[in-house]
Amino acid sequence: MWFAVHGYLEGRPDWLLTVFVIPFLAVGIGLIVLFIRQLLLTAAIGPTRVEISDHPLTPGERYHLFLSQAGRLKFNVLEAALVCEEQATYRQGTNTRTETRQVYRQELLREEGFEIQPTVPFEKQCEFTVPSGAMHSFHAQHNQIQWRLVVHGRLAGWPDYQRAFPVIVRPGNGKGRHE
Amino acid sequence: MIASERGEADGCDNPFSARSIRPGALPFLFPAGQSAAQLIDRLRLDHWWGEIVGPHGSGKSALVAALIPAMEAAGGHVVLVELHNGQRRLPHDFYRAIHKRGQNYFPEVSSPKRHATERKENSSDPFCVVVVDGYEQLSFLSRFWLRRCCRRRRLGLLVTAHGSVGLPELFRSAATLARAERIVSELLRGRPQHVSMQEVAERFSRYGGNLREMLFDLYDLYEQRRSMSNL
Amino acid sequence: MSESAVLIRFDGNGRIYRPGETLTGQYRFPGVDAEQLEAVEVSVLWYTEGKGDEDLAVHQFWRFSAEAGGLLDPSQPGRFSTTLPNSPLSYEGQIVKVRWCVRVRAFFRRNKEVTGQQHFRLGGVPAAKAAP
Repeated sequence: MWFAVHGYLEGRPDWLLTVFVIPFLAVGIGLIVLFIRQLLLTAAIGPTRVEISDHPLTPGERYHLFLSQAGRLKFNVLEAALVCEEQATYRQGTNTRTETRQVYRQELLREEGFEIQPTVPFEKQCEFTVPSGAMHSFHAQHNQIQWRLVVHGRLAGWPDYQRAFPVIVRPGNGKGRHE
Repeated sequence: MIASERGEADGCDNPFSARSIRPGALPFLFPAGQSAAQLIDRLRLDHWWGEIVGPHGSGKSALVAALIPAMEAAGGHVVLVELHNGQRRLPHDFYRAIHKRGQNYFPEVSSPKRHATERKENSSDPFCVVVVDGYEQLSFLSRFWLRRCCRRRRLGLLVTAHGSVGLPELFRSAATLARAERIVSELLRGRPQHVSMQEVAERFSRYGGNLREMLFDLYDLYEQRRSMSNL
Repeated sequence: MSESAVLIRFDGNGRIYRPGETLTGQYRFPGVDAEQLEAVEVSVLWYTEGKGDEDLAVHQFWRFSAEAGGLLDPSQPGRFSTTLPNSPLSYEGQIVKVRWCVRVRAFFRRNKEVTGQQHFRLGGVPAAKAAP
């Protein structure tokens, strides 16, 4: 690129080199813009804190959830949900692929049309119950059942963001560990 | 054979699950006029060197799974290497295993000056074949050392690849709609017919003949239909 | 020797078992010649099924062989009994399923073998549906 620019400065533009350089320049500028945008977004969205009253979770039991979101943004929607996903890993020829399928989603809280100030984080509490027939967390080499608390934000003028907090759900043997 | 396995879970099994369609789970469907025995004979004539070539999801790994027992039944010992996810080198203990096995089967090879012609080709001679599934993922250097090692130890080398890698062509796999229909019919044998051949044809076309992608898509379709029929 | 199936039956008669309960049952080999039977292996195991490659774990395993002095009489049903664990529970998911079963393998002379298995449900987790 330097040679192309140098040629222009010396009054001897190399058109072939200019045409060759333009796509690389476009990609480079695009990446820089994307990087700056992502940096600003990360700085603008402060830390997300989720606290629950007990862990691991037991099917059929009730829990308190506390959500805190710091930053400097205008939200269209901020929601938190309890989500269960199945994950299956399989060999596809010489590749290994992983497929994820959401099998449960419970919206825990939802807030619309508000703004977060830098010094005053958004805070909200709620209660939720893990379904009594829920499958427990399961982790094997190729197959997993994962539970997560997912915070999803839809922002005004910015791309959405999502932060997930894995939780463990133990087998629903009844109250406590033993019946 | 696992008795009472099919339909054992009260018809809850999905015939397109990974364990049902993995290479070797189903008998390989050879084109008319071809068989494992014929391919073994052809491989033997090429001193157990060959390549199986074909596009993604056309059944190369399935054919390997069908040929291994045939090679073992013919008196051979097979060392199988399955390469995945851009694996550019062979497993670290591979050459140690080959060194051991090569000596067992070809004790005269320890003197490298003996020529191949001095060893009588006899159909009852034991032989060792290295099978590499996903050969083209190996780096140039890894391929070079592997071929050199197999030549020096007079081991066979059978590989799978998406394009020719310079070995004698043993089989060129290609997925056809007829073959896809035969596979699906076999998988659905004795089970509720939640999938029609028209849907098989549609998915075969959608995935450009990639049988593996087609079968995984049929998994979702079958699962959906089965859930609806259980309501 | 006829290639008969292995017949497995649970004392609970197909009910759902709960974690910590005792699973008992019997197996037999109808039409099998006692002189041909060399060994029997019984496993209580779980395995996964679905879109992922199979995972499997054996909860309990027994092997009876004539060589080791085990009494093998195919005319009499063999029995098994095990205390079931807390997890994993049986699960009918979308792309991941967890299945429990008892698997019996019988080994005969001249390297013949026959295998039978019977599924059972551990826990009452309902089948999963895809989330909207």
